[in-house]
Amino acid sequence: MPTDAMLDASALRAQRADDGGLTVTLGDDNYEGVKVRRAFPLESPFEFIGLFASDGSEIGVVERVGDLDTQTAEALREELGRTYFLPVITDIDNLTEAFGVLQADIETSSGSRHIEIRGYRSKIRILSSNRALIEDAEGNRYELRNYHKLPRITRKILGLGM
Amino acid sequence: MDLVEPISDEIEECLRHTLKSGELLMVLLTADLSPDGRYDESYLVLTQERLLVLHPNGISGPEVEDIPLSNIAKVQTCNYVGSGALIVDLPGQTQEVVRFSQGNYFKFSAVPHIVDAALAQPTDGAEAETSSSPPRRVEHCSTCGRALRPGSTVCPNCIRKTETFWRLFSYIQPYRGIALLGFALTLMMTALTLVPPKLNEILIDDVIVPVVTNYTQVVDGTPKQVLTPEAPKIPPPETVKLLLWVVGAFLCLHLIRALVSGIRMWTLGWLGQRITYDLQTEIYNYLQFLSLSFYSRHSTGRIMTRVTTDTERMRGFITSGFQDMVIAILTLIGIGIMLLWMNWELAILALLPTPLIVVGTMIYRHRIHWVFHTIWRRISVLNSLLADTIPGVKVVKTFAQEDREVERFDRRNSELRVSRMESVKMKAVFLPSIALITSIGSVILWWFGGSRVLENTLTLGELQAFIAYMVMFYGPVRDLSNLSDQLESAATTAERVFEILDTEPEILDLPGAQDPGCIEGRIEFRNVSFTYDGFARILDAVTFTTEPGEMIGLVGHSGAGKSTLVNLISRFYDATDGEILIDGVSITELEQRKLRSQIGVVLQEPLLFQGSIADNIAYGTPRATRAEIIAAARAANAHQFIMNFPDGYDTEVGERGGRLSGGERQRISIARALIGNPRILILDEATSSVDTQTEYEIQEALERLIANRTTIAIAHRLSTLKNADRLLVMDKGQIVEVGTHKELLATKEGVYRRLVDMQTELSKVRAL
Repeated sequence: MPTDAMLDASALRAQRADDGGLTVTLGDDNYEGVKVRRAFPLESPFEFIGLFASDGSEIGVVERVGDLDTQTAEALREELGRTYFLPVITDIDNLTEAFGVLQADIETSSGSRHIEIRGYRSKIRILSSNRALIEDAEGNRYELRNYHKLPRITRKILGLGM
Repeated sequence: MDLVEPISDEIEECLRHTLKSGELLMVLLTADLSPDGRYDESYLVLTQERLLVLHPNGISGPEVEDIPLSNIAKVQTCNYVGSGALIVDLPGQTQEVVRFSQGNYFKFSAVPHIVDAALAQPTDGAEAETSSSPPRRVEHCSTCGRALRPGSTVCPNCIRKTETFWRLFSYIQPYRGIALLGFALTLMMTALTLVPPKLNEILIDDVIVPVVTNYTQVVDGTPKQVLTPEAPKIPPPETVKLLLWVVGAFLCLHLIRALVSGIRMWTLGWLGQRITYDLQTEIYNYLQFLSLSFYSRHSTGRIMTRVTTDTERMRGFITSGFQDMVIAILTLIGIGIMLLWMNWELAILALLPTPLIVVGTMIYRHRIHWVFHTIWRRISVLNSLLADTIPGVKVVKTFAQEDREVERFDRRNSELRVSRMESVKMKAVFLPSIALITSIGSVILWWFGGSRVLENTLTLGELQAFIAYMVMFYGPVRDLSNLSDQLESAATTAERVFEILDTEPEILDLPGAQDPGCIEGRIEFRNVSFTYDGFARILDAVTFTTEPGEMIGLVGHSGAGKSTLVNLISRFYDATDGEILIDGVSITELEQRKLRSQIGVVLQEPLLFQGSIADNIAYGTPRATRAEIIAAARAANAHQFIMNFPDGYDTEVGERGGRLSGGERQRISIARALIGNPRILILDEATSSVDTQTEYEIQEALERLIANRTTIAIAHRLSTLKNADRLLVMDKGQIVEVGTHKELLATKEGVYRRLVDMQTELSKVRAL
């Protein structure tokens, strides 16, 4: 099976262009306006990063961002941060449930929000390492880390293990 | 199936005279219709030399029709509507030899095969064929002869209930300490329920009555207790002390009851959940080891019911039903003893309504059972109507049939309402009647007991205790009226679950089965025949060999046996006759799981499991690295579209992969088949349910993948098999043509050529 899509970390250079886009140099090839996509955004956000040229064709996959030189890694991390927005919930307050709708005030890595979760049993997805992905009624998503450390009643309402 | 059925002495005697020495009885079946369609028995006898038909109602004993096998050109069964017949082709004529009702069709359908075998091997072919004779389509109980439920061998009439219950209770064995504690607490609860009436008796006779008697004055000629709220009396200190004791005893009793009840609920709950967990785990584990044939005999719904509802019922019986029964029996005994001990004459009077309650309850339960049965049936009818019309609402609207559907629903809903009202009416009659009978018992007691109190032969406290015990007595009486139903239901449920656990997997690894190691991929079919039902030959003496790395295309009409053939390579079923070899070793000598790990299968309708795309690709190889998952997806032309999903490989596919399109599911299933790097690849209509663009992408991926793997591909679109090294054309379970696409096209009258021509014509018509 072909595995040649994995890019050689030592041959890859990336930097921000003046227009804010990402420029990637791979050996003699130069790509501008490169898009990044995570293969495993929820389970392994800084491994297996797909790089796509501006015409949509795949340049290849970076196996580990940590293997790249500092500047390239930094540029990629920045681009990933711009492409993927997934606030991390740091606190949950005033969690209530009525008629199948959850309401809560949450503190996130990006600020505080009031959220509603409809049909919440299908909108809360358990991830590995005691993490959960929560999708609110408007389709916004949040990551909840270490949910096992939440108060028992909160876990019970969210259906995250008893 | 036994093809030699029991016969009457008269027929046996007749046969003894008719059969020659050394003539082997191969078939003896009873037919139940006369040629003019009346119920009348006749017997079909087959030996290695002839076919005999015995008609028992001849003038001088049974008439015998004798047809030598050498005269028979062909035997076949003919299926009419509601009946069937066995037809024999003789020189110059066709003769109907026996006629039978529909229920007997299946057993007679085995006869033509056996006759064919007898004609082919007149001496020793019989035994082999008889041993592979078909099973009955409708199974009957071997003890009582009742028809069994489809897919079940459990006869509710003949279950050995004692054995079943012992086995059922064996699930308690690992937790016997907890079970005994629960049982002891149950006994304690029962004993505690008997105490309050006795305390009441003490309260009335020893505390209240002796003091209150002093407050009695004659008012208007009648002695009455006259209250003096303005000047409360001071009761004797010893009476107050006794009141305190009794009240204290009541308080302690309630505290102990609450405590015992709580511990009992926890204990039985724990026990119940452990038993449910053990049972469900045991059944599910066992289901994983059962062969595919088990799943084709049992519907998914039925298997799910065994794992969920039936195990829950078993838990209910062990932890609740059984305990309630014990409580009821003990309560009855306890109260009976108390009543007789207190006053045997009153006890007999008190128990007078009991037979009425028992009989009334039994009649009610019998009648309401059928009403409930009707209600369940009508609910099911209503549900099936909803299941039809709600998904089909587009059709309803298209034909503007909304009113008709509303009317149809209304009619069925009315029927349901009527049957529900029937149950309401029965309850409205039964429950007040029982209450009335119980009250009549109390009235009788009040009269006779009250008279005794007035005669001073019974205390007021005793009478009150009597009435309290009597009220407590009738509850268990009603419960026990249903005892046999409960036991039967529990036994049948348990037996159905045990039936699964007792099913022997048909495909088993032989002792000393070999690990095939890394196979080369040489597949050899030697004269392989296969039948699912023991009768219809889906594969008939199939012989072919594929070399390692060769690509074989399997072509043929629907039902030609193509999918069955590939199922046999994976050893989902064992061949009925013949042998299949992988790298020269019979697959029955190989460890099936190791063999299957080297076979990649892509089906027409790929089934994905709930979870992420990555989980699904790595399903057969859970330790696959992320790099391997991406490589497999890339090879299956799936990487591009997966990366376009916001969650990439972490995307949830939904139930059965429902959030993805057919083509996406198919490419993921190809990646799943490839990740283990199988040596044999089976593609069963892998591209037939996708659009042309997707088919092109899948085809492109497949062509890359079949290199260096033995590939067997089934496809209806013959163009997809053009590059196969060889094509095997199947018809009616046999390989009728072998060759490359070009070679087979050159055969003008060939099956393949005809199929290609038909598809070309069809393409032209579609293009118009």
